[in-house]
Amino acid sequence: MPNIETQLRAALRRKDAPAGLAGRIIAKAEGRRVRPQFAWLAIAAAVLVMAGIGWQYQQERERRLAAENTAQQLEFALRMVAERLTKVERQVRRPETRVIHLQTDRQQENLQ
Amino acid sequence: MASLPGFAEIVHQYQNLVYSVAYHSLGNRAMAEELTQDVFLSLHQNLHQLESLEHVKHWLRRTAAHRCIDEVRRQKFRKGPGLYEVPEPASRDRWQDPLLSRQLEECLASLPATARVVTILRYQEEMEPAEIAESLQLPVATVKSRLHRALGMLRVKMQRKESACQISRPS
Repeated sequence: MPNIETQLRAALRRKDAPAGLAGRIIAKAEGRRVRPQFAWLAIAAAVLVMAGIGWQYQQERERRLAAENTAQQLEFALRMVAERLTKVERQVRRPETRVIHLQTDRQQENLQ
Repeated sequence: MASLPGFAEIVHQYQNLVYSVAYHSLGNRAMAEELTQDVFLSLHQNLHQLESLEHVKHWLRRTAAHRCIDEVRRQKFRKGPGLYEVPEPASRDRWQDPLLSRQLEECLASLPATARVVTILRYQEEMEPAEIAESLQLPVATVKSRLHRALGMLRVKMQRKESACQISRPS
């Protein structure tokens, strides 16, 4: 049996690359060379899309803030009205108030 | 300083070198072809940094060796057809014993990634340990010890295989 180093040299002799490999590598490399121009276009398109999305998001945010503001104002107004109504209701239910109202009515009848 | 030949010429000149390192490391034609393509595409991107054909050869050996080590390490975590399971249909040298070479390839496939690539660079590319050390960025002593250990392991494995063959042979 030959020595292991001789066997290794025989077993590890260079192999021929598959037919057409060089052609495929060269074609791929040529294809890559064209890419940078498209890369710039792709980057520009991505930036535009991102800017569009950002602008839309900003618009939506402003609209939402305005809606929230209006809702708060409406809520405040309704609360004020409710408070007034409660006050009036309390006054109406008080017996003295009723008397006063009645007296007022009678005075008006006398005047007439 | 002589100018570099074109990329196409470099590919034609060194495709066998890169493919052989990849094939012997990975034991699989398709993977070796893919790795060869990757190495040359990387060369295409870095060609402007290289000054001479010798520099290109050195760069190709170093890049192919590093990628092979990475790929062999990745394969450990993948499931799939084992190395050297599919016979290589490419022409074999008739003068060498195909069974012996096959056994040796199988034994080589069982070596750790770095030891395997060091052995391939030493016996396929006939590189000196110092050159291998420079390519793989390892100390020369480490390369020598890995080579020594790899040869020892291969010797033992080959002896075992041979004795197994002798036992199974009918008397």
